[in-house]
Amino acid sequence: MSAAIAKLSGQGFLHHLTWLVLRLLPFVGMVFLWDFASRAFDVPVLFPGPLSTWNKAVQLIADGQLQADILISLWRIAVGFVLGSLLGMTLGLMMGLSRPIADTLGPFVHTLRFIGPIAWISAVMMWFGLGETSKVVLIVYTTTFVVLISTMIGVMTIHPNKLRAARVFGARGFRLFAHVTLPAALPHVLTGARLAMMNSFMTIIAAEMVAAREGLGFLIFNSRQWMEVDAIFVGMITLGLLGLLADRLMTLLTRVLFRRFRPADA
Amino acid sequence: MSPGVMRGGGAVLLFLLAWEVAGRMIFVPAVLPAPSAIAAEGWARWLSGALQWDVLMSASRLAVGFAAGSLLGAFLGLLFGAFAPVRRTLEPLVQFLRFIPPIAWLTPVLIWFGIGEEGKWVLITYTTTFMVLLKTLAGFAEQHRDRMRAARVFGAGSWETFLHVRLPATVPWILGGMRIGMGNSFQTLIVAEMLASNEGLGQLILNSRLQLSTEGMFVGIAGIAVLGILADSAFRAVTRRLFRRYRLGW
Amino acid sequence: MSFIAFRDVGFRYGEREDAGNSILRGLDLEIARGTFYVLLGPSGCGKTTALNLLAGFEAPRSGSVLVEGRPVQQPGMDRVVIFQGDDSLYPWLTALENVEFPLRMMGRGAAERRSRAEAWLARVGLANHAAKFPHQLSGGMKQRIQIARALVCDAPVLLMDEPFGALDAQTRTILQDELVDICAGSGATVLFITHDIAEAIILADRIGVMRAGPGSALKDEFELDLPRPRNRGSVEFAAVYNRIQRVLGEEVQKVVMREAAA
Repeated sequence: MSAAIAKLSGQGFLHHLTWLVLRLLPFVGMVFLWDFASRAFDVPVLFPGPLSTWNKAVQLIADGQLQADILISLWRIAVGFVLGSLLGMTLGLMMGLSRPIADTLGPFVHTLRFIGPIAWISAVMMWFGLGETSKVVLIVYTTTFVVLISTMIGVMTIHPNKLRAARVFGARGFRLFAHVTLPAALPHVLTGARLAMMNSFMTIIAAEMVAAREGLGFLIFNSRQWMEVDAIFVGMITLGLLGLLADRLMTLLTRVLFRRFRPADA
Repeated sequence: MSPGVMRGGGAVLLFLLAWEVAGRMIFVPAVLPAPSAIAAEGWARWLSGALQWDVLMSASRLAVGFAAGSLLGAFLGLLFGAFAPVRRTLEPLVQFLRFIPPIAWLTPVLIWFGIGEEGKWVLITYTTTFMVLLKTLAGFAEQHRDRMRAARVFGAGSWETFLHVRLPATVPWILGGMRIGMGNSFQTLIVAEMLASNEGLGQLILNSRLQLSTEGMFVGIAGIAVLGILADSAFRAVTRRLFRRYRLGW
Repeated sequence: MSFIAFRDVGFRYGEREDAGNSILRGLDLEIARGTFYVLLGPSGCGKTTALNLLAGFEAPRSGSVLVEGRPVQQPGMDRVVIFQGDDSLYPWLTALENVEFPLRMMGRGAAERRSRAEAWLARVGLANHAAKFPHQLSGGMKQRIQIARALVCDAPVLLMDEPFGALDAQTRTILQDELVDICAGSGATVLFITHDIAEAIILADRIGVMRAGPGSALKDEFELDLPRPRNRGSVEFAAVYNRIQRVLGEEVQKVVMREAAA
C-alpha cells in the first residue's frame, strides 16, 4: 500500500506540493513578523497589521476601486511599453548599423539618458494635456531609451564571423539584415524590454503620484491625506504582485514566443 | 576633428538653433522658451544663489543616501552571501519587494518621518541599498567552482575562501549595483522633491511651472542632466582608478 | 596558369608601412585545381590573413590575389569558408536550418533545400541531430555542421581556418579522416590552415610552410606523395614529419625568442 503511494507520488504531486509550501514559508513567516511588529508598535493608524490591511483590500475590491486603479495603471504601461519598445528597437537598430546615425543621435541619447522621465512631467502635461496621453508619453520615453541602448549593444556585439559567413553565402544589404543582424540582436532587445517593463512600473507610479486622479500611484499617495496607511499598504502590495506577475509573464512569453532566441542574460 | 564629433556637434548645434527659432518666433515662452531665455534664467538664479542652493540640496541628499545605501547594501549582500541560511530565509522577500518601486515608499516614509531631510535620506538609502543588495546577490550566485577548488588545494579554509575568492569576485557586482542605484536614487529623489520639499531640483521643476516660469522648469531639467552626468562620470572615473585590478567595464 | 594565385601579396593594418605592423610581405603562392593545400606556420605568421584575402574579407595592400586569373573582389559562394570556432553558426537556427542557409540565399525551394541539407547532415553523421540547436551540441558536432553547410554549396574552392583547433585530440583525428573522405570525392580545391604538422600530413596534397612574422611569406613547400589513407604511425609519415618539423621549428623558435624578449 505504502509502496503504491510512494510510486504514485514520486516526482509528482507530493514533490511539487512540498516545494510550493517551502517557497511560501518565508512569506508566511514575514506576515507573522509583520503582525508582531504592528502589535508591538501599537499605533494602528500609523502601522497597521496584516489583518486590517487585508480588510481594507477587501473593501477596496468590493467598491471596485482597486480593480479600476489596477486597470488604469496597467493600461498606461501596456500602451507606452509597446510603443516605446518599437521605437527603441528601430532607433537602436539604426544607430547600431549606421555610424553616421549613431554619431548624430549619440549626444542626444547619452544626455537624455540621465534625465528621468518624471523630470519632464510638467512639460509633458503642458504639451499633451492632463489626460492619458501625457502619462503614456512618459512611459514611451523611458522604454525607448532602455530598449534603444540594449538593441544598439546587441547589434554592435554580433560576432563578425556571423556576418562574414552570410556574405560568403551571398547575403547582402537587406537580406543580411533580415536573416542575420535582426535575429542575432533579438536576445538583447528582449533583455532590454524586460528591463524597460520594470522602469515603466516605476515611472507610472511616480507619474500617478504627482499628477493623476486614479491609478495605483494615486491610491498610494492620496491615501496619505486621510492617513489611511492600510490603503497605502494595499496599494504597495498590489504593486509588488503586479510587477512580479508582469515579470514572470514576460519571461514566459519570451520563452514561448521566442524559443529560438534565448535572452542574453536569462 | 573626427567626423563623428563633427556630426554629433553639428546635430546639437542645429537642434539648438531650431529650438531658439521655435522658442522666439513660434511658441509663447510659457509653452516653449528659447534656449537663450533658459540660459538667462539660469544665470539669474545662479547670481542670486538660488540655483546653487537647489543643486546643493539635491546633491547632498543624494550623497547621504548613496553613501549610506551603498554601505548597507554591500553589508547586507555580504551577509547573505556568507551565511546561506540567512539568504534562504530572506531572499524570497527581497525578490518580492524588488517589484515595489522605491518611490512608492515615499508615502509611508512621509507619514513616519515627516517632510524633513531624514525622510529623504531614508528613501534614498533604501533605493540604493536595494539595488546594491540585488546585484550583490546576483554576484554571489556565480559559482567559480574551479577557483574555489584551487583555493582548497592551496589550503584555504572556508573563511579564507570567502575572503579571497568569493568577495573579490563580487566587487564588480557591488560597484555595478552602486552605479545603477545612484541613477535610480536620483530619479526617486526628484519625484520626492516634487511631492514634498521646498528646495531641490525636483521642487524647482514643479514650482517653476506652477509659477508659470517655464524657463525655470528647463533650468531644473538642465540641472538634473548636468548633475546626473557629473555624478556618473565621477563614479566611473573614481572606481576605474581605485579598482583598476577588477577591470570594470566602464 | 594556376587556379589560385597569390602574386607578391602584401598586407598590413594601419596606413603607413611601419617596421612592425606588416603582416604579409611579398607572398607568392600558387595552388593547382583540385589540390588539398595546407598552410602551416607559427602563430602570428599571417596564415589566417592569407585565407581572409582569398575569401574576400580583406583586400591586399599590394600585389594581387587571383582565382582563375581574375582578382578576388568580395566573398562569394565559389569560395566557401569554414571558420575557427562556432561563432559563425546561427544559434536561432537548428542544425538542419543552418545547413539549409546557403541554399536559402540561393533561392532554392523548400523541398530541395531540405533534401540536400539532410543528405549532407547524414554524410557528416548528424542525421539524428537535425532538429537540435547549436547550443545543444558538442564542439565536434558544431564543426560538422559547418562542414555540411560549406559542402552543400558544391563550391569549387573550400577555405578552412584551423577548423579543428578547438576540439579534443580524439575528435580531431576522427574529423580529419572524415574530411579526407569527403574532399576526395568532391574534386574541390582546398586551402586549409593549421599549425599542427601531423594534421597537415594527414590531409594535404601539398604543404606550404610560412616564415615567422612580421612581413611574412612562404618559406618552403612540400609535395606529399604518400599513398592514402595515410597512417599516422608509419615510417614514411615520421620521415615527412621530421623534414617539415626542421623547417617549421626554426620559425617557431624565432617567435618564442621574440615573445621572450618583448
